[in-house]
Amino acid sequence: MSTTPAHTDPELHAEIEKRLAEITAPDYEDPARKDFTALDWVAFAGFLAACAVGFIIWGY
Amino acid sequence: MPEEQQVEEFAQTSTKDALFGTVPVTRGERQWGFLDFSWVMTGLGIATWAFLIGGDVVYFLGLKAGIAAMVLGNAIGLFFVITSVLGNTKYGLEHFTLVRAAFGRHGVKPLIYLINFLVAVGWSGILAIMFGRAAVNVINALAGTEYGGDHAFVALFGVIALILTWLVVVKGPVALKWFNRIIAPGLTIVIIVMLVFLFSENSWSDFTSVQPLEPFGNKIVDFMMVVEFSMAGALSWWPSQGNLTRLARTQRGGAWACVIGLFVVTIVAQTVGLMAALWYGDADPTSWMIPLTGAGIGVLILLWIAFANITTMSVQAYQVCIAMRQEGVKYLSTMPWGLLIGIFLGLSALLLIRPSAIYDNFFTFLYWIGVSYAPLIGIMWADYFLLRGQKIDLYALFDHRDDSPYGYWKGWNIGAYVAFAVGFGTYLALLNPVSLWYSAPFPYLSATVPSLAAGGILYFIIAKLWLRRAGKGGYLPRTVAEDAGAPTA
Repeated sequence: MSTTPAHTDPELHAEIEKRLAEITAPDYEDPARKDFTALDWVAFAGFLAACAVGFIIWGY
Repeated sequence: MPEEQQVEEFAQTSTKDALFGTVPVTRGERQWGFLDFSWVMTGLGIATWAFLIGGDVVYFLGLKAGIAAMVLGNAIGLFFVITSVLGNTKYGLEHFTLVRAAFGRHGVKPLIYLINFLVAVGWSGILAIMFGRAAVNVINALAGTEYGGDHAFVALFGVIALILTWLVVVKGPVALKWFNRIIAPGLTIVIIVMLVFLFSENSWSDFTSVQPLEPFGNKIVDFMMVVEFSMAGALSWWPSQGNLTRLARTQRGGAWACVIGLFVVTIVAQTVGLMAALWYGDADPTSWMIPLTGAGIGVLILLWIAFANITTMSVQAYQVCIAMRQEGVKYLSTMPWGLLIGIFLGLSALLLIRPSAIYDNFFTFLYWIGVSYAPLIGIMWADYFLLRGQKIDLYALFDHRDDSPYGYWKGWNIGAYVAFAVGFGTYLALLNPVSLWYSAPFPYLSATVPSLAAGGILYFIIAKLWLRRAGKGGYLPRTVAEDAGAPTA
């Protein structure tokens, strides 16, 4: 699989192709690929919500 | 070699570097763990604009309600900004490359060349005015003059700031890397010095007893006005966050680092700005420093603020103009580098004609950012989480064939623009960023949240009922192999 050249620069196109091949390979592993878990969502949204609610109660 | 030729060669090299900077990053290239990225985000969170936002709260609210509104606005805005760029971290994608999935490869261009460009022009103009105001306050302190905020000297020094920025960007922004490393620590010292002076003669209750300058008189309306521009301030991070978080090693670490820098640290800086604004009854940060710390330290702080603004403007001008030279628009990619920078900064200079018009109503500029970015973020949120289940076809993002999954109609996704227009209209139906007219639901809903929701929900419906049936957007069910990022065709 290859893409239609996204750029007129062949060097850049080759670089994109090389990287796409690498990061879509079945054996490619990257910790960044791990999505937020349910706990992450609860902790992240919960922290922001708790700050917002707490400060509204304190300051409004 | 003639100097002009050297400049052009530098620009071409920079553009090429920038283009290579837009390719997906791989695991080994991700530089930032949680602590490193927290430091980067803290550097971004401490900037002179934080004083401007905190200072503008003084028009509507006192200290405690002001802090609460800033926290609420930033919390909501950052939740959507940070989560909407998780895909950039996951796949290592440059910000607007991921946006192609929803808007198409050509459809993304107006977002870069128009919206992103105009927002940057506005920021540069405001920072140039701040430079001019800081310079005039230094002159007033040293020469005993009383030049006002709209005096010709403000515009003159603003133009000088833009010329200095032009020189820095044209001659070579390598020095900016070093400037950036000292700006944030310097501004941290400024904040500490301000806090020391603020509390040296006043107590917390002194600040909480000060009334806002020009409130509507309806507490919930005043509160929501501040929530609204705090949300917009958070949304203004959206394009840069996409580019920065792709260098984070994990989605979790990147997200929490943003919370530390852009939420916690920013709120502290904005609060210090609000306290100073309340105490001096003036939203302009350049007017506080000399009365607060005395002429000696005050002049030094103002000079530092001026220096910090030149650095910020230079970084912004460099990034925006490099982006303008990238793929797609031929005459921009061949335009002389100095001329392109000059056009960008020249447009910013228009704001110097009457500095107070935008600088003293800075929050209205933030409202315009809210109008522009809220529906975009809503659409990207719906696209990435609800429609694609956090799975992107990486090949399709770079495939320029019309029949590729993200090809839409000759590279334009009409559906995304319909949703954007409705989100844009929703905002204006709730709040007029210029006159501050608001409709009945605004004090309870804000304008940003309904605009973001309208854009996102409508796009979701359009994608399900129209794009999917038309075979556009790659919204049809995917195979297991495709879910791993493999090509669909």
